[in-house]
Amino acid sequence: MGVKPDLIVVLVVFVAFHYTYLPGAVLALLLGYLVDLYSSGPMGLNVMGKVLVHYLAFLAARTVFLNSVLLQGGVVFIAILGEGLMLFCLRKFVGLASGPFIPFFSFSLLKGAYTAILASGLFLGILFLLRSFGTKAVTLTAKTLT
Amino acid sequence: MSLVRRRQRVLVLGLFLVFSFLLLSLELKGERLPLAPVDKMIVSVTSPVQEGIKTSQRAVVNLWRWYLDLLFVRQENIRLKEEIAKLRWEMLKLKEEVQAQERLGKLLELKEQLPLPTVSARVIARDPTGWFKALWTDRGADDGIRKNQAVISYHGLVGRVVEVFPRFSKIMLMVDPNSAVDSLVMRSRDSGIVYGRSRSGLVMQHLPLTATVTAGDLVLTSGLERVYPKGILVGQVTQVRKGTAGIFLEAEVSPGVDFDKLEEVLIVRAEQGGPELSN
Repeated sequence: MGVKPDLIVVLVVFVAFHYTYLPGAVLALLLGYLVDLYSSGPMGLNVMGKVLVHYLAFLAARTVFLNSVLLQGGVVFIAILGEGLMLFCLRKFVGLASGPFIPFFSFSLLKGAYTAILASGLFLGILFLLRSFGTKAVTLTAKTLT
Repeated sequence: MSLVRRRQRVLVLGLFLVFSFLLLSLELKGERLPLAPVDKMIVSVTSPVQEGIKTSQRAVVNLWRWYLDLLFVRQENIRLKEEIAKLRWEMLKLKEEVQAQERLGKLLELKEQLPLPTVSARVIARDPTGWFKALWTDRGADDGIRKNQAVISYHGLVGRVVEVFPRFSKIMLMVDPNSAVDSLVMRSRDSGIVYGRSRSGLVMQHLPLTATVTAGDLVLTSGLERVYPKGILVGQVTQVRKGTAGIFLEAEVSPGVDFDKLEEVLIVRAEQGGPELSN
């Protein structure tokens, strides 16, 4: 079916849980812009999606502890599903062709499940990379240290 | 402080959303923000990174596919090996059946050619001691087998029945040291007695000094001692020499039958000294 894991959302969720709001939001904006640049869709669509996902993930980080594989996968799954729904609604709202809802939703479900399975490993990979470049750059919150 | 931060966050979010909405609406109108040089710069900076990611992703996918292929090849290999073993077994069985058919066909041919009542028997055991040359067949008194009946195969004389049980019989082979067969040389009609010599085959003794026996002559049963029908192949002369006393000739005879490969035989049920065979 051509389903691929959404690494950008994983990164956005990661920064939302590990960084203060502003740098995370800027990164989400830049990543969304980058995705829009490379995608065939209209500019701004992914910017909006990523910024919103980041904001909601940041709000979730206040109450959710990402201390288990299941939770990490679950948060990423919800983020991808949420972003998918947001993009679908946005496309409908601005009058862009978005196709029928069911196939779109099924695709988002599969993509979310696939990425969720990999989420824990990806989080570890990002942490490892950041630590390799110097842990001072990472603002770890008390939640994620457990 | 917290309220200020919250307001700041909402402000940033609002700004970013406005920015993205502006991008979107301009895009939909067919216009773009004057960001083309920035876009170009971003693309030129990020393209190699993206290409690197793609390459490594492709490498991982290829590695995974290679691993899966290898896994399937291994399973396929096991399956094919099992199939080969099964087919080999079936082929062996078929070959064995074909050979058995050939042997039985020859035996049947011989049985039809012989003007004697015969019964076919399967070899079921061989004498394990090695001292005496004997074998066991699956025919006995119940099948009309009696002591001293001749046993033959497609290749010639085998021996005679020495012990009879209701459903089995013991055959003393011609090569047993206790065996003696009155025989004659087919070409010269010289007669003598063929004795068994265990591993070293047969020896034909009591040949007159005037006999014209030569290597390659065929030796047949004479039928004189009324045990073996006349005219059955005993073997072939391989060497002729003077006997130890010097008054007879003796000949080394190679048996016509390969006793180690005997699987089926015919037991002649005729009364002793039955009709003779044409030679």
